[in-house]
Amino acid sequence: MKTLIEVFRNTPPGKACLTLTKNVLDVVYGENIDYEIDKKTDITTKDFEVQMHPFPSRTAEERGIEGAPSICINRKLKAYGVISPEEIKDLIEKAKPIKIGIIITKTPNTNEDVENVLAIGEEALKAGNQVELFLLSDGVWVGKKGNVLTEKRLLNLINNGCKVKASRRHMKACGLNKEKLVEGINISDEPYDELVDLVMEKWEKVVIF
Amino acid sequence: MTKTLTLLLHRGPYESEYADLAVNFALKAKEKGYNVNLWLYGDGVWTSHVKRQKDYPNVGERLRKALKEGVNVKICARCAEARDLVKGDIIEGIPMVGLFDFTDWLEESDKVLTFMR
Repeated sequence: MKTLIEVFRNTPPGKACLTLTKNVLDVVYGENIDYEIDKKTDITTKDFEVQMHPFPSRTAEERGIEGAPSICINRKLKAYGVISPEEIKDLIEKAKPIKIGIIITKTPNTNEDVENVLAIGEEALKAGNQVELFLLSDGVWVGKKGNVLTEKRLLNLINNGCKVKASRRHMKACGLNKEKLVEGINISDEPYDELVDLVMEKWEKVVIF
Repeated sequence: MTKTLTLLLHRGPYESEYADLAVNFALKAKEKGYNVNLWLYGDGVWTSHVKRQKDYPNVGERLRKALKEGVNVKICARCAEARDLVKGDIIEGIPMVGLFDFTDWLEESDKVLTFMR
């Protein structure tokens, strides 16, 4: 997954803004290259995506940026002023996305639990992390098409890159099949087998509700 | 080094699927070569009380299988005492211990899953 670095600069960018831009690009390219730093707009490399934004702007507002020059990494870590390449590297390390797994074992309409756990998934995804949902036991009801509480939110999560899996044996017990589930949900034939691998190896953090 | 999974079960057998989920999870993780701990807490201690044959799914039998396969199972002594469960009532080979054993497990675990409420 690419690291997103957003640089916020005054218009036109002053000396401080240009120095910060240069520091960011030094980190991105790993060496000192002569760039036209005042003209450079967006840059994409194998590991990085760098975006230049004016300050003030809508993006700055969305990220809660309060001044320029400043940077925001993976939409979650912010830093102000002319930050050195070493400090930028530290921030990138701290803002690394993590893989979060969410296991849901409850129905959406009994209480608030499912609503709250979906909110955790939405926020984690917004912060640039990888999120996966696993619908186990009564949790398979969360995947049902047409549920007014969950359908829209689930589709939204899936469209934003969240993987959703449902346990076939529990679907079967509830009389659910693939056609009755929200589009984009994958079905797991061996839920425990897959979950052990996900929990122990793939997911860095696990939330179970 | 072998990774460790700790499971906490806080629900009673047959009142919900959680006892089955926890025990099935433990069995599968053990089968895959992980070190597995299962802590029976609150009403979860009743799972160790299911000892006789049933003509429907038997979570006690699965728990005995987990013990045989090498899953470390422990019971919260205070929760058992509160329910008047004594040593002779429960499946053989499960120690009734204090909560500190669980916090030790937490320290040594790579992942923890809780099955409750």
